[in-house]
Amino acid sequence: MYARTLGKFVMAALLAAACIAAVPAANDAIQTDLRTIASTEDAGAKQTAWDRIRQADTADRTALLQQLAIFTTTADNERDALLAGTVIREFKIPDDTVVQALVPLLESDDASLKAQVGNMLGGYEDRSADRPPNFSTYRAIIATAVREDRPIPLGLVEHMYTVDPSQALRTMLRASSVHKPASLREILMADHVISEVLWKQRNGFLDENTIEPQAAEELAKLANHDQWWARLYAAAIVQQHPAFRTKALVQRLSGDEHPLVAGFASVPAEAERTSE
Amino acid sequence: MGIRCQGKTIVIALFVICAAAGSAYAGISECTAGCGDLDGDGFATSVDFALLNSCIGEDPQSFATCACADLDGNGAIDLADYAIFMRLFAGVSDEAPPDCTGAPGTLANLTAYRPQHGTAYFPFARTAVPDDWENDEQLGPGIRINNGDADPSGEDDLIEVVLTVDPPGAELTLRKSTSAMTIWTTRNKQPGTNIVFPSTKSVPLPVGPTETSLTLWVEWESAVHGVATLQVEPAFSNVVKDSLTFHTFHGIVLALGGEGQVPTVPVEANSGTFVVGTALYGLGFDVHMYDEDNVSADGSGAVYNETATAIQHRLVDEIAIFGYSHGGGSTYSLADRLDVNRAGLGLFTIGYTSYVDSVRNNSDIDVNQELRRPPSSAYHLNHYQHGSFFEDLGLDGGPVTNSNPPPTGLDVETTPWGANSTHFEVDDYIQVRSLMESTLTPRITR
Repeated sequence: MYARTLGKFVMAALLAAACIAAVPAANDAIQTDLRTIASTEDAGAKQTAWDRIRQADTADRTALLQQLAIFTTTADNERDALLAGTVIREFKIPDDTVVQALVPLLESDDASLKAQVGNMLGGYEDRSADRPPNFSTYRAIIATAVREDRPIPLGLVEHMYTVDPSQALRTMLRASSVHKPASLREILMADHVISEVLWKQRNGFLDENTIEPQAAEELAKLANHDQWWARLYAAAIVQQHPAFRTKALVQRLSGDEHPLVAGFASVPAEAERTSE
Repeated sequence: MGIRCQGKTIVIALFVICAAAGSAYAGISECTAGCGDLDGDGFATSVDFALLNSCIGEDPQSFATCACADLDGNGAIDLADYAIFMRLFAGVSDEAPPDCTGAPGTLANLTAYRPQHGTAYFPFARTAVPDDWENDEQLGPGIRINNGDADPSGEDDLIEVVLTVDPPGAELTLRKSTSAMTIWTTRNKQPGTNIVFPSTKSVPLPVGPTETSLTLWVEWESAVHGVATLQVEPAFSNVVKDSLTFHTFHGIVLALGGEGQVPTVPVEANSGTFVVGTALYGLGFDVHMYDEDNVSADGSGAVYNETATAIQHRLVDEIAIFGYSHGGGSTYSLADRLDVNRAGLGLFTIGYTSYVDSVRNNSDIDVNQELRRPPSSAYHLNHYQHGSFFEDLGLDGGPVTNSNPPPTGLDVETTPWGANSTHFEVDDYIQVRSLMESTLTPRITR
């Protein structure tokens, strides 16, 4: 118990340190120019500000993209909110470059910046009602961290599991270099069985409050899995789908040594209405 | 009410008809109307006065209307009845023959309000149904079916009705035409606060001796659509003081603002989407207005959940969705998710959709034109203009295949009123808003 608590503490401390290092402060000059472009009626001032932003892009594109995210977080009107997208479009910045620049901001301890960046990244995930999001860029980022023995960016992991636990699990499965077929099958089967129940609920074959026993068993297996990101899947499912919530599972997961797992299990999200 | 046989000059002719009607007149001596209301329309008017005149000197048992003319019940229709009638003329009595004294009746009025949202009325002001529409089956008070409703927004499906009375503390009852309606004195249905109806008529309402009003909450408990009346009457007569005609909502209207726009009360004039939504709410539609961020890129979120609840639990089967800028992109995403999940949701149609300068909404910074027609929309209206970088950051919508006006919607810059429009004002033109209202209204049942 002591070890588990200590583990949580160390993990949180490391995470906090990483956040401070990863997130840049607002650059007042760039923020002012962006506001001028968005709101001034003075065409000359607007052109001057635009020219400076173009120079900033040439000097350090990643820094500019991060300043755009910070600017968007403070937006309170449509002009400000959509300026970042306009700049990215006008400068023809490739999608992959935008994602690579924004992902580090997910490690911020500024909740509003994290939420805004999560929203912005959504535009590069090909989200749709009838297909899963595309996390392939994230997989490469995480796989590189694993290969180079650097800390996995937990803010990014949290983002993926919030958006789509199933795709997040598959992404982590590949990025984490699990190669044993039996280990792969165990996780893939659990996800398959649980996803099928969610599909049945969504399409009216199962009541939204009902789950099949096999799905509950598979979820329980993942809730006790050695890999924290497999347990995180269980926590995300429990959080997002009330039918899977049992007192025992919530207790087990909310006391998990990994802060993300414990965090997900402790906060139930609003469930989507599915079947009749 | 049966055939009326009255008036001295036509008595002989009608006698034959009435006699032929035989047993239809077995109950001819029963008067079921209030004092002075000889024709049973709820008021003592010149028509009743004419009927009374025709009955003077007649046997009260001779014709149905003459039975109502014996106001004091003394067995004769005479000047005493005439005197009582004159005191009642143009008023409404709470008394009924044969015990009429001419005492003035209680005044009672029912006012219904448009539906609630969550814990109150926001994002709308509390809006009364106009008197003229109180008994209109489309424009009158609509009510959500509340059978097994999970109510994600809280218990907000009850309709507020305010009863005002004069004199204070008047003893009044309600009459309802269906058991599907339950009436409460608390908005969240506290135990013991439902009005008891031993029959179609309730027990006396709990109006305190000094009180001049009582707030009631009407719930539609049945899982079947319907139309029903709610009337207020004196406790000891059937005189209708006022009535409301409720209809269950078949449709739901979803209005999605642009990036950074949020619904406000009062509505902001430069948020055209919400101006239209507010107007439709006043016209009796069950309108829900949202910040478009409540629809995620895959269509999920609070708006989808509300719509799913409406379909599954409130038996709503007609859906309208419209939005401006990113709200247009969200209109697409929401329609797409509803269409994808039809198997689990139930039967419904997306009867109406509309874009105004629609921009895709895969994220807050998405600036791509939304040119996809909302999936399975029966009717799509599209307005757009052409953006330029220094005017409006180059934001714009564009032509959408198979839209209205045909074939791809209206480029407002081709009109005299919309020339040189920018993205930030295109949603505010009265021409745009009017076309939205006039095209939605006939396509969505309230």
